[in-house]
Amino acid sequence: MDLGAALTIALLAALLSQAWALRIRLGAQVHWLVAALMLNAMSLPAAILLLGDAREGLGLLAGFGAVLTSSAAGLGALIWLYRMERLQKMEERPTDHG
Amino acid sequence: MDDINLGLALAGLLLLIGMQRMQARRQAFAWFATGLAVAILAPLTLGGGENQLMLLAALGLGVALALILGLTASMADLAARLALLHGLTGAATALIASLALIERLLEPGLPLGLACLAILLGAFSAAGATVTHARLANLLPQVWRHISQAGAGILLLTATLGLGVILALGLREGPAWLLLFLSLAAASGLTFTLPLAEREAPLAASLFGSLSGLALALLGAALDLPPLVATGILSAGLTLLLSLHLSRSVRLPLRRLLWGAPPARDEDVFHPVHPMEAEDVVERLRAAREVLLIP
Repeated sequence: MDLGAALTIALLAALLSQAWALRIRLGAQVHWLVAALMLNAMSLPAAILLLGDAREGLGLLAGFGAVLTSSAAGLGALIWLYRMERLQKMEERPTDHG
Repeated sequence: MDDINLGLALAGLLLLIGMQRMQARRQAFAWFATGLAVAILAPLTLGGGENQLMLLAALGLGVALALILGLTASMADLAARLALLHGLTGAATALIASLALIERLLEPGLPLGLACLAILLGAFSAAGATVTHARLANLLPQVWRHISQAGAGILLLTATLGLGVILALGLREGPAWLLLFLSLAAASGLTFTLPLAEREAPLAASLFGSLSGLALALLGAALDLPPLVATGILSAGLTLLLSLHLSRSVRLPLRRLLWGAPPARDEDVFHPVHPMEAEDVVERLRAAREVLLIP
């Protein structure tokens, strides 16, 4: 990959992360940590691509481990996000009693 | 590769929309779920390859592990589970970069150097985040601190970097050298994390998330996958800024984590947990001038 292009992409992404981070409330930090986990889980497509073409025994083992761990992290984060949003929804819903 | 990059860019865009909705305090789950689905389907349908059965088996096991990690703990254990998930992403990045080295997919020089750095950061954060998880889940109540720990950690990290340079230049290759490199990187992570106490662990977990993101970005640059560079840097920047924010809030400077904790003081070693009645908690909260809840 061209170094200039990679640096430009990196710079733009860093600027975007700074713009978001400035507006995050302390109470919502955990939501953002889960979102960062989802972004890190983008290693999953790379793992799938490389395992698909792997030929060596150790390479297959590493690829298998990579797909397993990255899918567990990505889907695990997604489940936690679902639980947090469901909890938030329940808290926002007006109570029937009183 | 162009079609796949397009697919990955679409997945990244869906994740960004999810984050934007999160910023606006709206439900974002559907966008994140769709983004992850696209990230899985794009390489599965466009990538091809011969090991499809193995791939599906790994994905199936990953889903099972995700269900265990996501559903078998209460919300109170969220911080510990997040630390473990950050460790898993670090491990995944290190394993992918290792696979690229084993299959000789990268040329010696910059591409191999970026992959080696991704292995170092990934294995370092995987080992560190595992210790952090154990600390937060009360599986590791003992804090190991020694006056030489910071020095030993820096020495180990320097040796790992040296070996990484040798591998990146193609002077040595093969599984034995790669395993040694992975072991050294993981040992460095352990050395830096074992001295941290429970109150420092959430901050360390967040920092390891940042290192995992950086590792992903380096891997993306090495494998010619620009969407991975963007998502990796975005994640690294976001978690680093969140860590700085949190460190200021809890008055715990990041350098304490980066350069090793000082030798143990009596009050730092281990705080036994005292159960409290609800009334006591109410009184404490009422008397407090400021309350900070750290999940």
